[in-house]
Amino acid sequence: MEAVELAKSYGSGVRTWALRGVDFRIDAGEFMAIVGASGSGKSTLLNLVGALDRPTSGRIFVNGTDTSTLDDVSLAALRGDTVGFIFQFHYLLSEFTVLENALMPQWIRKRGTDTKWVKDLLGRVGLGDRLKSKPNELSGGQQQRVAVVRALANRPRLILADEPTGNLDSQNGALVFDLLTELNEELGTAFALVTHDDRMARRARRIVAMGDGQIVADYRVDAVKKEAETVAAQLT
Amino acid sequence: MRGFELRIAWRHLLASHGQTELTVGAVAVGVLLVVFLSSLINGLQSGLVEDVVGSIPHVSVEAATPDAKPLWQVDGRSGAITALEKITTRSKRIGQWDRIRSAILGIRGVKSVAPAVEGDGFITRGAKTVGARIIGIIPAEQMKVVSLANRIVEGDFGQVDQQNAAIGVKMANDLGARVGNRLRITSNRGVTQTFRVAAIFDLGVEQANESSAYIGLQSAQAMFGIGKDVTTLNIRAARIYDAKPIADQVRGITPLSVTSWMESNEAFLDTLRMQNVAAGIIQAMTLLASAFGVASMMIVFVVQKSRDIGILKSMGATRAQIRRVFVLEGLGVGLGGALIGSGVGTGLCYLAKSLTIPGQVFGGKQATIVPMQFDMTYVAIASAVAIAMGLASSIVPAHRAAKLDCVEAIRRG
Repeated sequence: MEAVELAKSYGSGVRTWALRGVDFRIDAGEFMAIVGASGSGKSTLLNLVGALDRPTSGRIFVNGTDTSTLDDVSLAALRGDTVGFIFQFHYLLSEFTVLENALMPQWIRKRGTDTKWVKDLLGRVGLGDRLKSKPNELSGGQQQRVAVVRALANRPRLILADEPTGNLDSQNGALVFDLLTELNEELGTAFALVTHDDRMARRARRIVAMGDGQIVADYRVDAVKKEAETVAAQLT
Repeated sequence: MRGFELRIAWRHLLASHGQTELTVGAVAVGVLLVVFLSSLINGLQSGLVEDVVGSIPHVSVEAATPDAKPLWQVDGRSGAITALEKITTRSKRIGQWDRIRSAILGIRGVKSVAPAVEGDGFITRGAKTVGARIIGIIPAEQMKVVSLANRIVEGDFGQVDQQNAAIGVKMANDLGARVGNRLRITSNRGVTQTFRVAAIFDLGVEQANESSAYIGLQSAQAMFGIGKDVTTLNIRAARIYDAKPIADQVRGITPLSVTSWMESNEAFLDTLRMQNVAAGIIQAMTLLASAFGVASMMIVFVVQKSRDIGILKSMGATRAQIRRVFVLEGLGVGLGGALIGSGVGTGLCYLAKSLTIPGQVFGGKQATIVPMQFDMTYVAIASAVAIAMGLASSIVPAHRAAKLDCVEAIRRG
């Protein structure tokens, strides 16, 4: 996924720019944290990358395809097949059971359901015995874990998570975060996480810092560590 | 079936905290009212029509009465006599009526044709004399053109012949006559013959009950001196409202005077038409009110579910899919309302039909409190309208749902 000169403004008279020409790239299998103050454009970036919204200018390429050339149906297909979303709140559909909620993306895409895959994932996140529960019968952490499985239902290559632990207490938040890192390693799915939590951000392999609609810093933790080690070695 | 859309629509409807039930109820009441009202009005009207038309032929063919012919005309200024006219005393009559009858029987929709000889006269029993309309008929034929079976109070109409007569219930009272008594019937040509009373009838029309007397056809032909001719051909149509077109066709094959019941009861038919229009308006209003109910529920649904819609879109649901979800919901409400409404409506119709007034018989059947005439057509039409209405009222809300902006919908809920 690659974004070129991405810009987004709101309002028609007085324009507020949420993004001001951002170049941005997510590679396969990455685990990235996007940090920044409120209103710095993190969520806007995520929404554009996930094709939930269309940019005011600039282009987004997914697997080499320019998304600005796609119609609504193709964009919906892109959202359904390539990207998975996790929001701050679980947003599970209250009328459906845990298993049904997790199967929903497969139902929408109508290419047959792979119930085994979804059940395995639910077992993997510790909800194997809650398949028939309704969302309101689960704890906050459990609900968010269902949302994580739902995002993975169509085996997307990229998961976009907008403060996925923002609504959870620190213990549950840490559990969900652990789960995401594990799934990243096990499945090779790329993750881009917006977070306010520094401790979590520090556990990502890449950190993108945003401010005032622009990327102010973008570094890989490994490279920084290596550099720091080199500097330390030179100093000793 | 479109699995995903149907699943979502179904669950939305099931988990609506009573909204679905109330709206389905509103549609059901609409359908029920249409079914019940239609059956009631139809029952009332066919009762009325039966009262008016049952005892008279649907179409009558008569020899035209010859007009008085002016013989001499004087200038009106001076003399007292302005015109001399020849009043014909010759009875009007239809010659070779058998051929005309065959021709009429060939017209589509004609069930039967009966010949009759009609004329005026009087009836005497002892010291009592009453004026009468004397009608000569062949009983078996006459019973095919007017429904008499339920209208015989006493005796057997089938026995009417050259010695036996049938008279109205009022005339019987006036003359103090019972079945088996003898009467003297005199035609306006002065021919008198004695008859035995074979039957007493009640046609539901005061005038007929007071003055009609039926005798055998040949007796009447002799009494009115018209040989083998008749004065009237009475026609029964297979369908009552075909009377007018049949009358028009009969006019095409004979110059005789032709009258259908629909032409002689224009005002009555107008009243029925007005009644139908009024009932139609009430029914349309009822269904329209139900339609508003469905539309308002759908709009509330879309508002309530806008976050879900956003989430579904984020998972790849297309606009068309979202639209289908809400159209299916509208369809579901229409279908549910139609099923329940027609079920309960049909039940109520049959219940109302079974409520009889104990001990009262009307037209040979137990008299009912409400004269219902149920027809599956009403159920079919009301149901079809309800379903179409459910669909139609969901179109705008469904379109609104499909157009919802994904990010906005999720953020604002």
